[in-house]
Amino acid sequence: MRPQLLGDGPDPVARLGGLTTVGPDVSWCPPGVAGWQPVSAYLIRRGGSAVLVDTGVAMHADEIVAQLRALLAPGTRLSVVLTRTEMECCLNLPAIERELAVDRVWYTGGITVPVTHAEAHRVNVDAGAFLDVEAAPGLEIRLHSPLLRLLPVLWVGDLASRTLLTSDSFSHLLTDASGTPRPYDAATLRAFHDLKFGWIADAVAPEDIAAIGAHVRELVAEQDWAALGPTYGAPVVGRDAVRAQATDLATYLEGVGRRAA
Amino acid sequence: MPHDEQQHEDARRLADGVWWLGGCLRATAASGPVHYHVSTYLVVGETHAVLIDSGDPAHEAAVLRGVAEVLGERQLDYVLPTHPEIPHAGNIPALVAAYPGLRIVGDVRDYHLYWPHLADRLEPLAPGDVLDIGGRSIEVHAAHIRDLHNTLWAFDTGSRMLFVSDGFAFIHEFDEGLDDDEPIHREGQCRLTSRELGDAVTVEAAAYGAGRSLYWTRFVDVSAAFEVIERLLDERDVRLIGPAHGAVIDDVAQGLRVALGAHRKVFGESSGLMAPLKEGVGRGA
Repeated sequence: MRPQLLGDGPDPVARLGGLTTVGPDVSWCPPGVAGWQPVSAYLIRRGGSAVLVDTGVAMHADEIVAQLRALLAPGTRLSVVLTRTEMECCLNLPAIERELAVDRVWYTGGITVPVTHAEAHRVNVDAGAFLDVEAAPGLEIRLHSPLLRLLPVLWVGDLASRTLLTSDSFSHLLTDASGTPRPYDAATLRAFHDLKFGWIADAVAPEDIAAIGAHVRELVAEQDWAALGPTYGAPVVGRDAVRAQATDLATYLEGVGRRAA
Repeated sequence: MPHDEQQHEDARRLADGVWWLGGCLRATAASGPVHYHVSTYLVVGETHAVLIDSGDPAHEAAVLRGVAEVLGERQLDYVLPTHPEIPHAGNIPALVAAYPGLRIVGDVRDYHLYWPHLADRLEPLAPGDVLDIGGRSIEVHAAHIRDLHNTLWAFDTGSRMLFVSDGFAFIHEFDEGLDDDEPIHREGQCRLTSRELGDAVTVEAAAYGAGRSLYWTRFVDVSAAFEVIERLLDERDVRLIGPAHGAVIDDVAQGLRVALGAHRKVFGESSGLMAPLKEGVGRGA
């Protein structure tokens, strides 16, 4: 599968990885939904540096390593940022480290990451806040800690390309077997987020749920993002699509709060 | 607690046919070194043996040694990862290499993506299913306190031990200066039970770990979940509780009281306070 380029400017973000079927044998897929989804790692490149955000799943390990070899010039300084320490984010680290030199692995939460040689660097960002870091020499990214979460999670903003990598949120877009996205469907967006973040409906204080919705609105819908890249699910491409789908999610979350009240 | 007999270097016997394996990860707090358990439990029946959670890859060698010390020439037949995270499932490939007949049982969705070469070993089990291991059974239960929604708990009918994954992460030490979310203990407290720790087990200490590692419990009242847990403990006459992270609980009434108290404390201090987090908090590294 050819890497998909996301965002604006001379250094768009490259989506790496492959497709998988989703249905009853995939835990993040809601009941009654079936089809195909990309499971992705994302490569941000600038000059002689690069940051790989997540590492994909093992069934795509060979493909991801080949894509990295094709995209990275010899001598590129490579770091990895894990948006979560869950399997689909970190399990290809050993395979990547066998083939490429990785300087540092940034992660949040969790107690262990499968690092072989690189420096493991735990980073904590307060919920709702962000932190600008030089993740590789001369390459700055913005680490957001969203209120919409189950485990500790980072959303990675590449301000140069206006691309926001959203980990386990915005994971709702299906594709066909060739990777062509199916039309957006707001009901599917709600179903994916209900499954992953089911606790939100049980939150007692409506103002907590309202805060989650408001954060999605402020961080995504009201910003100038050209693309969203989730760990699984097809990317959301284009400012209008980003704004519309983020507004739908924020509105839905705010509605959960009203129902809870 | 029969801990004076049949002990091995890498496995502590908790009851007839049940062994505590795994290890501790280490960190350094301002007040000195601290540990946190990443535990796995081996249950040996008359015909089959099952490992509840695989342990962390950092402890791969110790887990393999512990299993071999207990089983000798016998095979490990099943591994039941309570959910697909590295500390709970990360040693599965190493276990398969050591025990070629090993089957992976439980909520095994997604595992074909993580280890495609193991796809033919996956056997789904759901809450209500029972795994007969000869003379005793492993019952599969829903996880009432969890992080990932595809988490399972398990109950051994032989020892009456309940395996609760990330629930009851029974902390017995805490250090506000430690930039970490995990239940920790001090050197010398590894593989001690809650009774052996005595006064070190407090609601305050348990709350420190519960609220930080299970973020959602800050905002959700888990009292109803604990009513279900209490019924389960009563109906199954649970004698031991085995969390993946923290001391084994051998005083079940105390464990229930402390865990519920911890979650209530976390909820009481956090609910309704999510909103003001984001004002002016962006900063450079």
